[in-house]
Amino acid sequence: MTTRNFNYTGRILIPQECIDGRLIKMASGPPGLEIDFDWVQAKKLATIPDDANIFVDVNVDMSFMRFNYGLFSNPILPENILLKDLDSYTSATFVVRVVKNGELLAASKKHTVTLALPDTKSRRSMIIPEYRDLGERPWMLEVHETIEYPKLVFNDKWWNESLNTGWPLDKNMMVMGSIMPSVLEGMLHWLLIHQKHDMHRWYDDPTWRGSWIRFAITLSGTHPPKTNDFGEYESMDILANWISSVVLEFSESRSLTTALVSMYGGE
Amino acid sequence: MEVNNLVELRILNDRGVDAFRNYLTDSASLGAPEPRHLLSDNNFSKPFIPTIYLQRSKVFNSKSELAEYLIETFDRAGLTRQVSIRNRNLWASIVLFYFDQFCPISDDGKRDVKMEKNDKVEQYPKYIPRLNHGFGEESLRGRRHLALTPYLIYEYNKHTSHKADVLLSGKIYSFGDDVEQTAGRIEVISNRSLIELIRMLYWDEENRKLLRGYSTKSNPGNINRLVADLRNQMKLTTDWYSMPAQEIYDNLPPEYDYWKDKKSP
Repeated sequence: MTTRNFNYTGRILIPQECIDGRLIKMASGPPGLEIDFDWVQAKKLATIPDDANIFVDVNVDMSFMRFNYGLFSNPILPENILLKDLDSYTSATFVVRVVKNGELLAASKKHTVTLALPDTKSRRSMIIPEYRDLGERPWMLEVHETIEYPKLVFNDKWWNESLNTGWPLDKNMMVMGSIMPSVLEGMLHWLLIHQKHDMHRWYDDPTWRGSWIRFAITLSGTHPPKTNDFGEYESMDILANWISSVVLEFSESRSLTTALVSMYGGE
Repeated sequence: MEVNNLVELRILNDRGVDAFRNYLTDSASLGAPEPRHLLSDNNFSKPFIPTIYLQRSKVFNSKSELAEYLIETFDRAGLTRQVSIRNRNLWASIVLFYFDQFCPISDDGKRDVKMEKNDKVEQYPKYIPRLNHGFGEESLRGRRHLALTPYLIYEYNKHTSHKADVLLSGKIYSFGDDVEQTAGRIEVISNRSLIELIRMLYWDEENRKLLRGYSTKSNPGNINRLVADLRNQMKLTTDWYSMPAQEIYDNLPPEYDYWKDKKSP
C-alpha cells in the first residue's frame, strides 16, 4: 500500500512540466543554476496573483542558497546564478516557492540536478548519474541516510573522455551492463543490512528507497527475509542468498552477459 | 611543531579516531588525561594540508568564541567550509586537541563523557562527528558535534550583526536541546529571520544569555516548540525566509505570549 499525504493547506503543487532547470558547468568554480518557468503547463496556477514572488531554494547537505526570480507574472533570471555557497559543485537539490506577503501560495517538489544529468526535463529514475574526481577509482555508488537521490558517480576523467567519443557512460550498454548488477547489489545491501532498523518502512516507502525494494521483489518473485523482534535477521546467509538471487534475476532478465559478448561480435 | 604557542595541527587517521574512541569508552570518564600523543604519533595521525596552526593555550568562553576562532584559523589557512565539513577526522582531532575544554574534569576528578548508546554508527557524536551511514563520498551529520555545529551556525551568520549569539552563547562543552534542534536543520541556521525571532523571544540582552527555561519542554512556547513543531506546521503555509522577524513575532500563537510578557513586563 502506498502512503499518500493529504495537501489540505491550499498550497498549489507546481508540476515538473512548469520547471525547466539546468545545472551549468563553468570554466572553473561553482556551477550555475538556471531555471525557466512555463506556468501555462498548469492551469491551476492561474489563480496566483501576478505580484507574487518566485524563490528558488537550493541546498546540498548542510548548505543552502536562496535565489529571487522576481514576480510570478514576469520571472527574471537573477544576476548571479552561481551556487558558490553550496557544499558540492557537482549537484544540487532545489525547490521552487511562490510567495506573497509571507504566504506560501505554491511550491514544487524537490528536484535534483547533477552535472551528468543537468536538467529537470529528464524523468527521475531510482538513481542519478554524476561525475567527480575519484582518483583511479572508475565509479562508485553513493547512498546515505540523508541523500535526496542515490547517485552513480563516475570518475570525471572517464566521463569526459566518453563524452568526447559521443557515447556518454550512462547511455553505454557495455558500461551500464557491467556496472548495474553491482549497483543493485550495493543498494540492497545498504537498504536491507545497513538500514535494517528501518526495514519495515521500505516496502511502502514512496521514495526511491521503496522503488528499489519493490523492483527487487518483482524480480525475485519473493519478499526478502524479515528481521525479528530484536531487529536482527535469523540468518544472514538467507538474506545474502536472496540478494544474490535478485541480482542474478536482474542479469538474466536483461541477458546482460550475452549482450556484452555480442558487442564483441560473439554470440 | 610548536612556534610561539602555535601548534601545527596533525589530524588523526582512522586508527587514531578508533584509539580516541577507545579512550572515550575506557578511561575518559575516570578523568584520565586525553591521549594527546595520538596527534604526534605517525601511526595515529598525519600532517594536514593546508597547514593549520592552533593556539594551545587558547581558552574559549563560549561556542561563539570557538566558532569565530576556527573560522578565522581556517580562513587564514585557506581551508574552505566545503572541504572542512566533509572531514570527520579533522573535527575529531580538533576536539582531542582541546579535549580538556570540550570535556572538562569536574571537582570529583571525573569527566562527564556524553554518549549516545543507541547510535549504531557513532556512540560519541559530540566528540567524533557522525558519518552519514552509507556508501560513497564521506559526508557528516554534524549536528551534535561540539566543534562542527558551532562552526556551521557561525559560518551561516557571520555577516549578521548578532552572529547567532543566541545559539552560541553557552560553554563549549554544554550542548542544549536548542542547538541540536537548530543546527540539525539547514533551513533553520540559514534563516536569519528565524534566528532573529529566537533572539526576540528568548535572549536576555542585558545579561547576554538565554532566558531561564527557554528550552524547558513543560514551558509554553519553548524553543523546541518554536523550531520543531510550529516551524514545521507553518512552513506548509508561510515562508518565514521572506518575512521580517517582527512580522513572524507579531503573528505567533498565544502560547508565545509567555515569552513576550517576560521580555516586556
